[in-house]
Amino acid sequence: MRELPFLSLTEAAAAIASREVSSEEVVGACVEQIERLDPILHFFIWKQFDEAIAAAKSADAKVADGEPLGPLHGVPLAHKDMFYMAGKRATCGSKIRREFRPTYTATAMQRLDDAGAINLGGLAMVEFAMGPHGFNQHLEQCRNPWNPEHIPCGSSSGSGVAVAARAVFGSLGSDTGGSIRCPAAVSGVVGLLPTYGRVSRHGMMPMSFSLDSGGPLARTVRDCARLLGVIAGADAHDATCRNVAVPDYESELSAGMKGVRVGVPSTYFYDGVTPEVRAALEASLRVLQSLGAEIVPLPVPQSVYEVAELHPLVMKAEGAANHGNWMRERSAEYSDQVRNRLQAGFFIPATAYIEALKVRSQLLDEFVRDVFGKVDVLHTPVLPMPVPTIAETMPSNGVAYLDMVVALTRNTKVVNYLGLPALSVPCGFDAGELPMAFQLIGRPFDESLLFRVGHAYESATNWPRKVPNIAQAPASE
Amino acid sequence: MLVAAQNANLQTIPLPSNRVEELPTELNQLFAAVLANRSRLDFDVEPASFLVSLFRRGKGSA
Repeated sequence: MRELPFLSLTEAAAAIASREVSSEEVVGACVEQIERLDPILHFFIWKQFDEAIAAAKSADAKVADGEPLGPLHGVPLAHKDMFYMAGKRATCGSKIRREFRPTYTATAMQRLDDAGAINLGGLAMVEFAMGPHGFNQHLEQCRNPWNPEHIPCGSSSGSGVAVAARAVFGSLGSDTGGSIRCPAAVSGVVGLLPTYGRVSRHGMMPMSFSLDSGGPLARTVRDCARLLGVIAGADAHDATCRNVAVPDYESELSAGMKGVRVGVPSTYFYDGVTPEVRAALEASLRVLQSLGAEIVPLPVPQSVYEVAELHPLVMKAEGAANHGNWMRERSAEYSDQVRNRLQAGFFIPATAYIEALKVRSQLLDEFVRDVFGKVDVLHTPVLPMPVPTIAETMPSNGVAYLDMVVALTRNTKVVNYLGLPALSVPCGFDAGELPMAFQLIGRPFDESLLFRVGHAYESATNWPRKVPNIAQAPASE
Repeated sequence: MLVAAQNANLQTIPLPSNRVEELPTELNQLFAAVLANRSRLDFDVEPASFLVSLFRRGKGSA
């Protein structure tokens, strides 16, 4: 067996269940990774190691007693610090909520707990999940494990870094415009934006309630499928969370690619894509084709360009409404970047906001008809460029900074507005040895097919076994 | 009177002078998409219709 931190989540769960290894050993291995790497990469906000080790001992006792085990029994995870657990901190990456302790537990967190997962603490995030670069003025700079001079993206920065650094086996993030898929892409891990309404948002900090979804980041597609299977499903506490059957995602993973039509957009998604990213995407399509997929070039509806502008209008209006009282009374406690992002929302008329929501069903119908009437999944770049450096995404970089921030989420935010599921899958490395990724977009509630295509690709290429140098065990002295 | 009532509400939001100058450009960009889609507006459609569409267009439906 490989060293413990380098197992996948599902391998770790199987090893614990079969008593090949104890949960306490697995948790201990993760704690060692965190203690070695967090001072460099800054991906944790708070930790609960003693509690996790106690939980691991309890999990091992259940294995020894032959009790029924959940699908995540004894497996250590950690989550973006905005998923509430009664009595635990949930800072939301902010100064305002530095000591916030909710009185109730998020449905997704409760489901992970019921499945036997162990929680190591709260992970770094952009302040109130507002920003795609990963910078947070209130925290030490979270850094990319493949090269600490580069951004981890955001807003689920710590989630991508912790999973890639082999410090935890999986993590929940939230995604309003790309905040799961972008950190996953630049960290070389898999990230899923579920269909809007697939996963309960009860107990997840709101950023923009029409666009927010919670979802998993993990090292393999199978790991993501395991996590979604645990957290998905109707919830009486979330009115948008639909009563749609949750399939056994893992059982459908190996159905293969034969007959699957993979769409390649000839409009919008490749605007401004660099030659290096384009070459990686084309190479990934050749792999899918060799596995039996039919590659179908097609234009996406022209209205996607308008969707890209409607998304920020909805996000800013809802964000401003959520933050109104704090913006009036505690404005100085926001970072400059987040305060600036919120301000425009106060000047959007209610009529414009409602109009942006009224056309949403029509734009979704058009996209589904024009795209999924012809193909089964759409294959696009996640980021249009190689992973930027931290310096390139600093406000001191002037106009280039603004262009960079907009470019980071250009291909992801439109998917949130349309409410569709999307999977970010690693597909190689750029000249600077930083990860690149493609995005698979599917029909509503068809996460299964995204997992199936992603798993087929991953099995043929083995990118998930690549580990950042910094995460490798240090040479013994 | 109308503008004054609106201003009284918005004056509670602290805004530095540089943002007062920048925001109109940002807002015009945001409004452009709404204007471009105004011809699509259907009197009988409400925002919650989106959830119905999502369900109807989902896997397994026609």
